Amino acid sequence: MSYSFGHPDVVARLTGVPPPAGGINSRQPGAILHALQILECVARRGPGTTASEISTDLNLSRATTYRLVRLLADDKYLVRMPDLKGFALGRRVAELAAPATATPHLSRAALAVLAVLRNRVRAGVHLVHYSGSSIFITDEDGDIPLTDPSRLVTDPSSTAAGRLAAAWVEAQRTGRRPPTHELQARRVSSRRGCLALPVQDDAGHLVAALLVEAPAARLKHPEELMSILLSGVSELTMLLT
Amino acid sequence: MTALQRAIAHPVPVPGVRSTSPVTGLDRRSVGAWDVLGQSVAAVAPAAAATTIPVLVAASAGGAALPAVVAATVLAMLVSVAVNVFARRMAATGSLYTFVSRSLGARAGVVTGVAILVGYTFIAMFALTGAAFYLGPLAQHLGITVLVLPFLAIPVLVVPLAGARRSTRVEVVMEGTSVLLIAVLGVALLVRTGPPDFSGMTHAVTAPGMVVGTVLALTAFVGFESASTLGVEARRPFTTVPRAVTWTVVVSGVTYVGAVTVQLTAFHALGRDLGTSASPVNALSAAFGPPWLAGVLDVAVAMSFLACAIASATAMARILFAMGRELVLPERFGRADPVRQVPTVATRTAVALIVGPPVVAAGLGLDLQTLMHVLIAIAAAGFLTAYVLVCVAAPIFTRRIGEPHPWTTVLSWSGAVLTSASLMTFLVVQVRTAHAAATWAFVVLLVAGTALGWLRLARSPVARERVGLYDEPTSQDVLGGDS
Repeated sequence: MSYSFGHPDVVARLTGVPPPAGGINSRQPGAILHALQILECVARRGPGTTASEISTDLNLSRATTYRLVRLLADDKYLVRMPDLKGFALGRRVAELAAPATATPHLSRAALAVLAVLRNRVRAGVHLVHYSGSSIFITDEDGDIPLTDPSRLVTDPSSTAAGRLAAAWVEAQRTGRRPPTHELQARRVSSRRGCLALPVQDDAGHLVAALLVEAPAARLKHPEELMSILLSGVSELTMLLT
Repeated sequence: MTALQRAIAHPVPVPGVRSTSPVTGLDRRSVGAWDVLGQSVAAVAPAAAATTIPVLVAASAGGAALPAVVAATVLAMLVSVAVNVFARRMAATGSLYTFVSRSLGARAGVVTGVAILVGYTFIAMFALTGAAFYLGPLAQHLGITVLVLPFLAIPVLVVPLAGARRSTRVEVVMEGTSVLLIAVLGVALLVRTGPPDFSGMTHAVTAPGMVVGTVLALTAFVGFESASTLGVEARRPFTTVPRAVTWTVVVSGVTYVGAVTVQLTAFHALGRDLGTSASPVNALSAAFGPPWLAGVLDVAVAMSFLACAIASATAMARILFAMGRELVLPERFGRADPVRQVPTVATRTAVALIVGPPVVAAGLGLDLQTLMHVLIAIAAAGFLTAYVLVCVAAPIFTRRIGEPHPWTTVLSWSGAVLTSASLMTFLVVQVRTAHAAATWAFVVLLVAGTALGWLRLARSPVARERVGLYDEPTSQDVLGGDS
């Protein structure tokens, strides 16, 4: 099984600095190694591992340990337990080991459906797919690109696509009807909002979502937009699942 | 297969993780590092304090003005260590209230919450009144004296409702401009007077002068922890919030040390005593600068004060929001506007509390300067009380969560001892002045607020259980969190 780093910024984020123009400097590799050892240690000890246990296990100084766990927690590779005592692995670690997923091949018919939708709604229309807990962009609008695509990875719960997935899981757990759409206004910029419509397979699993980024004013009453988009969604359902 | 690979392939179920965060509804992770810093710096208002505090310190501390300001900076640093113990580990909107609740329990949390709310309310009222006071001469010139306070109240009423991202940006611009302006003028003044003579500034240090001076100088730092109310809204909060808190103390400390040095040097050059001057900055600008300079300075100070009022309202609204979510306050305080992602009811309440009394007082024709003295005294007592509690709480918290830190313990508890001594000195000094009413007003507010809060806790088991609520990780964040 081949493992790859999910994102090129992983190294920079682990060390808490923006990616330097000239590459990694000589002091950082140690910190990266320690950071990975910390993740390994939490995986071994299980949820609730405290920072002092990590520091004893890895023979690291307390100050270094606290600093590294804070950086890891800032980027959700580690999460503090709800009672604040100790850590559990964050869902983002799965990205570290995720087998490099090939982008699903979109048929010409699906691309044509998206092109028609883009012409009709005159707003940014994008297609994202769900895989496990992560979201990846399969077809971004070339003319009106996503305002902040990195948020889908770094903070999905603040995006319409991420909230749709969360609501979907919640609905399945409680046995309620899954949501028909999810709206996120003021996600990245106050003037633009995002509407997410689910594409589901026969078993009711959320496969993909159609995202529409438009001025917030247009999304206030999304009925007109929805009527156009829903026909597109039903066509996409046939083509994607 | 390593443990990490195994954990990823077959995640261990993590119990007790909720599916949504208890503070859901706010615009999460939307405020950048500079704006978080701006929130704290604006709440301190170093530009305004640099022009108003040195004379107070010099009047009380005599020759010890400069050492007193340095000592106050160190003390604020100690408190910031304790604040950061929490800010590095939890993203909360309740600031010190939530922090203390998590460490010393709900009852101590309520005392802290009441104290810090008193602090923010009164410092914001002080700042708004201060802005009107400094624009007084200009308003008189234009003939609109009566309108100046209601007019200044408009941004305080409007900006916080626009959400954390926008209000912090406004704060950054306003406070940044004022600080730069004051710094440029200070340097220009030093160029005229020649280099400062530090040995002449420390010769007459006395113990009582030092203590009172330090306490007064400490009031110039209050509000530096307010970045911690943006825990939920800040990007990378465990890094940006502590950094903002520390840098605010550093920036303010440097500004104050510079301001005291410049003012002492300039007054020495004039052959006068800083402590006896009624309005030192105006005296200096009249002596050294062109005639319009006093007007420019007044506008800069007013702008700094206004930014302080906006920042305090923003911070206060977030604490009220936390209390609403916990049901310590009525539930509607915990509601957030679904579109604008702003705690609307909490923000409206905060701005109404801040704007109302000064506008009424100005309408009744009360003397603004007396009003400012009383307001800042109550605010400072509130902040210092909360600082004492957070300093006591920090080491207990680190031990409880299994991250003991000997240095933090030493620094925090030194902070607790010194800050409580400062608080006591401050209250005693206030009782002896003409503003004794401020001390009693503070005591009454603290006792009444605490009593109401404790009553609420006693009656509502839900509130008791929820106090200390923060942005917990959700099942979306935790590997194995859905089970």
